[in-house]
Amino acid sequence: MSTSTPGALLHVDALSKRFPIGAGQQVHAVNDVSFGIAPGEAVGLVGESGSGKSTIGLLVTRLIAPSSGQIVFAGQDITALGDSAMRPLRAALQLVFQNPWGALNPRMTIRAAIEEPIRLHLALDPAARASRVRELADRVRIPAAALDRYPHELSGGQLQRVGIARAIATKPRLIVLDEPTSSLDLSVRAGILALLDEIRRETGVALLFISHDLETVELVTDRVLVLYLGRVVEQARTTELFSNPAHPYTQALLSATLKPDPRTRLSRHVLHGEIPRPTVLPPGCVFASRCPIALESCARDNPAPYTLSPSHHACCARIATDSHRLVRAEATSHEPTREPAAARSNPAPST
Amino acid sequence: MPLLTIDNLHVHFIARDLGDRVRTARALNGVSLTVDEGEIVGLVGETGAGKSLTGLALLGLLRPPAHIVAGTITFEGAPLDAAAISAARGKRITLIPQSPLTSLDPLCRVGDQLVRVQREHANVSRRAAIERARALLAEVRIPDPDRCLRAWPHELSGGMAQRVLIAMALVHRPRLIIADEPTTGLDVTVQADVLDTLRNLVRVHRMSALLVTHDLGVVAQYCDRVAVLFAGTSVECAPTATLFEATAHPYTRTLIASTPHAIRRQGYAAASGTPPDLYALPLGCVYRERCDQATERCAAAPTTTALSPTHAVQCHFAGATP
Repeated sequence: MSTSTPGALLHVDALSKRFPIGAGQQVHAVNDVSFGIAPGEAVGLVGESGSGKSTIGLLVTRLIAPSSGQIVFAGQDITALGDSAMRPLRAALQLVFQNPWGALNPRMTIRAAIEEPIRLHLALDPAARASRVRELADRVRIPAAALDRYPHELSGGQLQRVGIARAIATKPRLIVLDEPTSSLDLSVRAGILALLDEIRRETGVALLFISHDLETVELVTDRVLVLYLGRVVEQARTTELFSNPAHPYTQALLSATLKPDPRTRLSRHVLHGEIPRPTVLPPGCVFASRCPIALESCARDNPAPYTLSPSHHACCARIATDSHRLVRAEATSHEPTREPAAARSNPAPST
Repeated sequence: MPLLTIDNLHVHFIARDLGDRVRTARALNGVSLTVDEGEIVGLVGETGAGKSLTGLALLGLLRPPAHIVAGTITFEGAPLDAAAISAARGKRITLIPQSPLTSLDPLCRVGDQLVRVQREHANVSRRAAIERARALLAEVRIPDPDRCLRAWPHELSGGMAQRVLIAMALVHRPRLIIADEPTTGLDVTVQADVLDTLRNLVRVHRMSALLVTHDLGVVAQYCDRVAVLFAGTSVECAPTATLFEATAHPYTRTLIASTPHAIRRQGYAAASGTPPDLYALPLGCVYRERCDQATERCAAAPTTTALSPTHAVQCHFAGATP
């Protein structure tokens, strides 16, 4: 699916990553993924565990090297750059990790942790550095008293704020956020999302937001890529994807999201089985083995992306014939009513 | 009469620090809730609010320095004291633990673990126990029960391991299942599958479940009633629809406003404060320091206001217009 955006900040073309696991086998973590991120755009990457989300994050920040394909960042081909050549670019290309407890050096104070990227990338004298640290701490709302503490003395939410302060310290153009809120409590999470929203509006930084939480992705991003088994099966503007999901996998994924509103009843497309092992890629559509509406040909031919609108593409053979809608799951596995008094057909067996 | 009644439960961690001073962490400060037969009751709150601790207290698994300092637990009409808990634990009250992959014995095949649980509580032959294990795995909708019986825990995915643990909790057809964040860490499609399975089993066998979670989506879709915990206090208890539509406690309101779902509609709310220090909780209302409505009245502990027979709130301003 090649949707090259002119003037893209990041452009990824036919990216693949295979990890050898011995005995001549390899894990096909990322397969032929292409996408672009425009300056200031927030792009979401969603999919189940093992779909290759985090690997793409590591690839575009070039913490690992791709097996094939091309990565262009700010007009420069970074596909094969070595560590030392990458270093000056890292100021513009930052990463925030999922687990804030593990992302900071436990023997560095918070002040030293925030100062580190400034020291490495910006030519500032010590006084200017110190004032920049205070400014950043203030920006992410870490109390000044916390600056002389160590990571174990801070809460998860505060540590994630430190991670964000480090990421924005060098005024980057793109931040890759790998599940930045999934280990945090609900109200703490809302605070982090609000902070990201403010930073985005102030600095115009672009985000690659990796998450399995569709509700958060819908809130944060402008555009979404849905991954399955290392392939992009659908990409669209966020509003389009959530109002009109085309790929059967996206439909199933969205229907399984539990809305925190008891008035919206869950009516779910049940997927059977689990994501296949990524050691042997299926020759046809990656989703064919679990797709409720798969055709015989789906196991054989890899579907080409179908364009639903200029900003909405999905890889499913059934879209062309407009037969891609999943029929709503029957109420067999659900109670018709949520009253506990219902369905008392079986008396409790005695123990 | 409810199957389970927890009334004003207080659990403190009492220990001496390095300077030999006694320090008390007030972990539970008045948890009250009921679970009726056939009902799924949600227990929500942030990390450290006492959700899992309430579950441990129900199972009699508190060990020093944790002490129940006040409150009563009544189960099936009788007080749940130490002897009653020992008799009920694993049989009439069971637990589905939080982290599926670390809760199974890694050195024991799945089938053997299911057999062991059965023979611990009843005198059954190994052959009968294996038969029953197979039936249980089928009941929790594991695709190939025979293969699963022979599998080692590390060969299972998170969703499968969680299903095995549900099967294990069902062995003795309990009256009450305590499910401690049963789907945290699972993918959305798997989460919905596992919760569907759990709900159907609870309904079919007329069991009850206490579902510990921090996910309001899980609450809204799977729970009949909800108790909201803050700093070890059940600040609001209500039927699920009432909790979301006639929210009465300021903390519950903050919690609901923090979901991405609500943020998309109403925008970002003001940032919330830090979690309370259990060693130095404020006097009076436990939520006082984070509450935007707090006044001098809140220096006195609020009593429980019953807004309806099923809707209880611990707030001085409950019922008054906010």
